[in-house]
Amino acid sequence: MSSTGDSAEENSLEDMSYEEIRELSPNELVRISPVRHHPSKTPPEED
Amino acid sequence: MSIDDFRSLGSPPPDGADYLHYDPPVLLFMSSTYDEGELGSLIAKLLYGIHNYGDGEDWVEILRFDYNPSSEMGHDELHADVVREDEKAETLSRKELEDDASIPVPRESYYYPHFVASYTRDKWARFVEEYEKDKGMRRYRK
Repeated sequence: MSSTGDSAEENSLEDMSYEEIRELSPNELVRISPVRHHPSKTPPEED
Repeated sequence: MSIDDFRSLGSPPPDGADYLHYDPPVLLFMSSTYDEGELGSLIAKLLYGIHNYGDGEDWVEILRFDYNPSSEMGHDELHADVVREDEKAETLSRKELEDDASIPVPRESYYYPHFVASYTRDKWARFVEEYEKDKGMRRYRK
């Protein structure tokens, strides 16, 4: 996944509290999360 | 689907984010903790990508579930918040979720993540369409 441009402390979900995760920006949340693709769909081809 | 059916679903949904759609990009993020077999906390967020898939990413939160009876920031009853501009715009109560869902809200909190994942995977398109309508755009096509 590409960087989102948010402040980028090197955190992982396992190390974060409920409160910290709840307050994360969506971009930061995606940046530190394991992201899984839909098994029945192929992502669009990237140019 | 009955309450008993939740017991056959096995392990709770894993932490992380799952793509539900690519054009526009839509993710379901989930994080849950357990303590001695009891659900300690649950956060689930439906995320909408303002970007096009494959480009630089910019996500917004459009729906949030948060459950944590032991936190001042948490809640002790399952509900969903519709989110706009990072602020809660509407709350769907447990009863409203139950009326809307095709499966019952479990009595045991252990199965809340199972319910939330199932509900959101079933209903995400409606929340995306409502968000796009609020924003005056139409990217999602069935």
